[in-house]
Amino acid sequence: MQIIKSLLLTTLLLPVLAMADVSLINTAYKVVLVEQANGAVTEEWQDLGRVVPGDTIGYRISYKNSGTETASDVAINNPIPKNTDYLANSAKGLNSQITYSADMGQTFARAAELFVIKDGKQQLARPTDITNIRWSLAAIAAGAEGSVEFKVRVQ
Amino acid sequence: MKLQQALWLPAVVALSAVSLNAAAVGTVAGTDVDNVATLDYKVGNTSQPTVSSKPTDTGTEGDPTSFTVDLKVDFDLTNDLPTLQSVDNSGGASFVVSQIKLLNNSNGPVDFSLTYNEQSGDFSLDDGTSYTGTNGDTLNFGGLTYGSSVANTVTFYLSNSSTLNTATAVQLTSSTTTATTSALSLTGKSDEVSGAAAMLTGGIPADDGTGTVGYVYLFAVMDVEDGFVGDDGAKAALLATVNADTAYDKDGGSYPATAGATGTAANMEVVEVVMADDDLDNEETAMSGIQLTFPDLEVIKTVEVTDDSLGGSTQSAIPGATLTYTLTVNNLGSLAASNVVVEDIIPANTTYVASSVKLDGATPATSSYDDTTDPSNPVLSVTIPTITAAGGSDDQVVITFEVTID
Repeated sequence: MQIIKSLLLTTLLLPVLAMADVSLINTAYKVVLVEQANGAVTEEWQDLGRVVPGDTIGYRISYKNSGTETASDVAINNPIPKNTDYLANSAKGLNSQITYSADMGQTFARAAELFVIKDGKQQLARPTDITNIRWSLAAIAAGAEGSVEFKVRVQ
Repeated sequence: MKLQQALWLPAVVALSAVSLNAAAVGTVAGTDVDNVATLDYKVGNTSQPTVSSKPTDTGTEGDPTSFTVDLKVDFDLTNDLPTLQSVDNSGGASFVVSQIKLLNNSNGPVDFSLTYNEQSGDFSLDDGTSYTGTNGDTLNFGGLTYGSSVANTVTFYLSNSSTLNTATAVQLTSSTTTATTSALSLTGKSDEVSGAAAMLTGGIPADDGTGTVGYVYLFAVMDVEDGFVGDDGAKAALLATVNADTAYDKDGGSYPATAGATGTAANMEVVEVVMADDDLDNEETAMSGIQLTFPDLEVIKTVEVTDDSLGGSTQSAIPGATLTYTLTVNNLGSLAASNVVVEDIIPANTTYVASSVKLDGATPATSSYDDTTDPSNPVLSVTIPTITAAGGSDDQVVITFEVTID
């Protein structure tokens, strides 16, 4: 009985590493607009190649739960890389609630509720004010995978 | 309450974030842009250790997803002598005949190769000012000759200042390997260099938006010699090229000695080059030049017998008769001439009538009669203060003097 109790305690207090095994792969792409034969312009995410100021970079963050338990209350965080500006409305993610921070990740809010104060005046944060993005997912089931993404422009 | 929190906290940080965007030409080439995402989650009610992203499936967790910013070559050439200006050739003075500004808008220092090309025929400056060559003559910047026979010197200077000071600017030695072109190369790249003296070996740093670095002026200065006559245009094109193979070292160290050379792996980090101009040939030209104008004088000499002392209706050129010589001086050029000295030898077998010389009917301020230097060829000299350019109110001056026949 003692042994069982201590085992139970251990299970409750220590992280359960073996039961949910979540991994993240962050891949950068060069985002270009390509005019198709029919005249339509489509966005393509290509291998990086040459990158110069003004180019658009897309980050795709792939997650996967290789464990046997559901990962819950998932929050994927990504600071906007230095020397880049977040592109408005470019953060996407299936089944996720996306919030933003303009204070290096201290506080997060939806884009429509994110304010900054400039020159003594309260303003809605512009895309260039955004410092961090957070995707909140209710759960990643065992064996499930998916991805979230966002785009930046190189300064 | 939650809303208020969002309002309040970001204030200070947002202001400090603005200063990160100071660079005028973008992220400096060679800069690594890193990105790491993190993931927090729970199993049951237990928080798990934060998971960091890896750059590839087989990569190491926590290693950044990274790329290096390449060099975007972008530059402007501006003609800073926007209008044709007239210069005269008095006193053997030197004139800036071309002034072109090269501005490096790239996101890093770049080595440029500058080439002066002589232009022939009609040309237009960048501001739309057009010039039509009058006789097909060309001003040769490279071969340093003008026209067919008269040599003139053109000297090139590099300067940080829009006002040329030949004492502090870097004087370039122009190539004379061909008759018509002169290639001036600025090579090397360094963020550290500053000042005109470093430009020849240090390259041109990127414009940082402060107006103090990122540009260089190239001046062409010409000595206008006495033999330089006519009314012709000077024109030059500046071609700036950047070799796409240019190696770039973001950390300092050795730079390639010549444009287009590539560095070694030991100390060079090669950044790929993207050309910003639309046609991707990485060439820009600027037309710069001035119109060189000169006085063009002609003298017409006529003579008539004004008094033969016989009292008849016609005058005969007999001994004792008075002759009046008329020297008509015309300025056919487009620039006024000043202090023009007209000399005439009194013809043999005649005697100059003292003080008879007139300049437009009046006694000239400066004149002389010299029969002592060479008694057999006495010389009358008259100085004309000013003859205006052709079409002006005083583009013709008349000198008269009298002699008697011995």
